[in-house]
Amino acid sequence: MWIFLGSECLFFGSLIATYLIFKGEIQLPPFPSDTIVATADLEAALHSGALEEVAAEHCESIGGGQSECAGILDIPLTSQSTFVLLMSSVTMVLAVFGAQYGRPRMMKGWLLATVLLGLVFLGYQVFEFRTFGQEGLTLATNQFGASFFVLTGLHGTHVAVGVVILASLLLGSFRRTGLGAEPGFQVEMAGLYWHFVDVVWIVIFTIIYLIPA
Amino acid sequence: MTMHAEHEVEEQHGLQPMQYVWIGVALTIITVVELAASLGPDLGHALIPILIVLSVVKFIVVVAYYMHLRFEHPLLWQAFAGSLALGVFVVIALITLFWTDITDVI
Repeated sequence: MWIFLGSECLFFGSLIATYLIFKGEIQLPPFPSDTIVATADLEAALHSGALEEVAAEHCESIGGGQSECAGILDIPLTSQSTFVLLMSSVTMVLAVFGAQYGRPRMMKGWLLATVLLGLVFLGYQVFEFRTFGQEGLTLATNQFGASFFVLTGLHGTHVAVGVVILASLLLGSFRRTGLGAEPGFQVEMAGLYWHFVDVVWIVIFTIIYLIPA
Repeated sequence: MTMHAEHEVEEQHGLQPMQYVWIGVALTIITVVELAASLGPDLGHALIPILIVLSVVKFIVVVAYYMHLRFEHPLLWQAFAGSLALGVFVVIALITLFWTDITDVI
C-alpha cells in the first residue's frame, strides 16, 4: 500500500504542477480570486464570444478604464468541506483502532461516521462544481478551468472510491464471519488510503484556495 | 499475554483514541491559522512560506500519527519518503520547464 501511495504522490504531483503553471496565466474571468482587468479587454472578449455573459456579470467598472472581477473560489465554503474531510480522518483512525484491538462495535460506528463524512465532502464538491458551471467556469473555459476541474475532480474520484471501499468493509463486518481472520489489517489498509486522500486535499486546499494567484 | 505486554504492544503500534482526537483538534487549529493568514491582514511575501510550512506540518502529522508511519519499519517510511521526494522533484521540474515557456509568450 505504501508503494501504491508513493505512485499516487507522483500522480497528484504532476496535476498540482500543471495547476500551478496555469493558475497565474488567466487573461479573462472567471478568476480564482478578485482581479482587476482592463474594461476594454472585457468588452472586446464579450463581443467576440470569447467571454460568456454570465462570467462578465461578475465584473463591475471601478473607473479609470478598469473593472474588478470577483473571484470564483468560495473559501469559507471550501473550509467547511476541508474540516469535514479532516474530521473523517479522525473517525477513520478511531475505526482502525477499534479493528486492531478487537472492538467491533467501535470499528463499525467509526467506519459509518467516516463514510457519512466522506459523502458530505463529496456533496460539497458536487455543489461547488455545479456553482462554477453556472458562473461560466467549465473544463473548456480556460486553462485554469481545465486544470482545476481535473485536479479536484480526480481527487473527488479518489474520495468516492474510498467511500465505496469503506462502505464495503462496513457491510462485510456485519457478516457472520465478520471481516475474517485479520480485520485490523484490512481496515488499516483502507485507513492508509483514506488518510492519503485527506493529505492530498491538505495540499490542494492550500495551493488552490489559500495561496493567491 | 499479560496486561503489561498488551500495553507495550499498544505503545509500539499507535496511540490511544483520545490522543488521536487531540491531534485532530491540533490539525483543525492549524487549518484555522492558515485561513486567518490567507484572509486576514496582508502578510506580503511572508504569506506563501507560512502557508507552505503549516501545510507541511499537517502533512507530516497525518502521515506520522494517523497513518502510523512513525511506528512502522524504517523501510516503509524510506520507501514513501523516496516517492514523495520524487513527486516534489516532478513538480519543481514541470514548473521550471513550462513556466519559463509561458512567460516568454507573454
